[in-house]
Amino acid sequence: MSTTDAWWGDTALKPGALRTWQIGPYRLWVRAEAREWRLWSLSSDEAMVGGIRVAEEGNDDEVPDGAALTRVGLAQRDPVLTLLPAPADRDVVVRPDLPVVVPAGVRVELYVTTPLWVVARAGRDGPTLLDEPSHRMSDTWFGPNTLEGELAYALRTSATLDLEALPYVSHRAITRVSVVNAARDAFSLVKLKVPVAGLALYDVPGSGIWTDAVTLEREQASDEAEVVVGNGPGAATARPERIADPRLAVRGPRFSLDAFGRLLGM
Amino acid sequence: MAWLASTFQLHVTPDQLAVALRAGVYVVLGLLLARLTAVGVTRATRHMGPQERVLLRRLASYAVLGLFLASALREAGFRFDVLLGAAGILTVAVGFASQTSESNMISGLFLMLERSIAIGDIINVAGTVGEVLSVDLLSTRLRTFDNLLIRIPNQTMVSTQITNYNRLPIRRFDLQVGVAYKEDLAKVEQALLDIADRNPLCLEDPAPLLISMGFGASSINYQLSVWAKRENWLELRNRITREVKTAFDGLGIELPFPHVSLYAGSVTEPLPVMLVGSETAGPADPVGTAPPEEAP
Repeated sequence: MSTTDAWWGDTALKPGALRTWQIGPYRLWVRAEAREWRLWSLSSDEAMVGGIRVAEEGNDDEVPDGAALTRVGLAQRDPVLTLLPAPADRDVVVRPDLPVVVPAGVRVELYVTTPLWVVARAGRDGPTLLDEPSHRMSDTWFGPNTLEGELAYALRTSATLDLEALPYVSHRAITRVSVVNAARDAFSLVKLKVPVAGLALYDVPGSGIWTDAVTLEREQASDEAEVVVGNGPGAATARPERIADPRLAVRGPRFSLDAFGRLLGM
Repeated sequence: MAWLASTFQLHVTPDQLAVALRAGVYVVLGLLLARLTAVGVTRATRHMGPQERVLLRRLASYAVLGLFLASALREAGFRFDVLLGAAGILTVAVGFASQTSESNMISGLFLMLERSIAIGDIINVAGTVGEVLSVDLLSTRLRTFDNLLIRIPNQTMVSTQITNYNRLPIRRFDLQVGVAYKEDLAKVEQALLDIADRNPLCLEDPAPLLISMGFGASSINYQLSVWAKRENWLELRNRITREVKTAFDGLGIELPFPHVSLYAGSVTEPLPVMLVGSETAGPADPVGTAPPEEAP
């Protein structure tokens, strides 16, 4: 846990006492009772609000009425709560506020940040108590029509090309997306599906949480697209510590997707 | 065997009893093996859909049972060559007697092959909405949402329009909403699109669609069409109606109900009302200002 704002890790709980976490827009209250865990959670509609507060003592009065309660029947003598970050459970369709034109033969590097999921477990190897997004993204459909395609999350972003402009918050993961236009014509990048569910998470000292880097290559004279998932967050960061595995297993480092036009909304 | 016949004073020869017992063993064995086959097929087809699993399980277990029943009949002295000889006549007779059943069976096969519905789907058949419990050879069974079991002959299923609510992953909800004539329509349209934009269940793509439906009797009507993941459709429908009401209340946008305005002219004073038959009635009283009078 080298990041200053690390909220994940183990916390020993006193039976019956309430502890509270704030992970950006997400708040969590946990109490381990004699025979059950009680977890209240609430997420703000605003994606970038809130700071980080870890395992603070709380009382029942501060749990808002709108918080969702999860009860898990599980008796533990010395309850330990393990919080872990996880990538989104579906891929994320990123739509830049303004389309980015990628000229022929040019490689463009975009940086996008996606909300992390919060996984609560009863101990490091214990059962999962909760698995929720720190911020609920809007659903979207990604495909050529309403019959073919897949469900994803929608994210509107500035899709910045400038690494320095990124907000380093520990409730979101940064993904470096390299778009390589190997074709002879330029194209306008209107939207982009980032395979977040298939990416691992890394804690990078001083730079927040990163996912594996992704390269999308538009090939010459072909609509075929290829997504290459890098083994690590990319060259822009150093000494990453892997903190979460991908949710979905990817068969090998390279896999083909459908037509490029479906991968990149053009 | 002789002792068995004598004990129960049966009027059968020991040979006949032995034949009957052997045939019985075939039947029992057939039932047992058919059951085991069904269990085995169910386990082996876990990766398939429920519809295919049920179909394969039935085919396999009926085939095993049929073989053993045929063996039992042969053991009992039943001659299949006689049956084959009479097959032509029998086919005609059975065909006439079971036209409806055969039609249902063939329709059932078409339904299974067409795969337009599957077990667990929510479908609408001629106004009846329910979950498909099974697609059998003769009929399809539905469970309605008020927990009634409906049996629909397969012939009807084939010849009737069926709407399957489960087949496609996303679904559209059309919200009809009317606003008062006095409202700023640009503000109304922006408010409706903002509601769709804020709701996380509402798909960003396909984008929400706002259609002006024209001038109604009491309101200017709009249709807000939003898409949702199929499983979230009902929740979106409930939430967005509430959100429209809340947002319109907050913005002071009137959701009108049907009403009638009376005008006596383009510019007029309130309509005068005169109570007839009352000694205390004054000459004229605007609407709503006169105190209630008791009837004479």
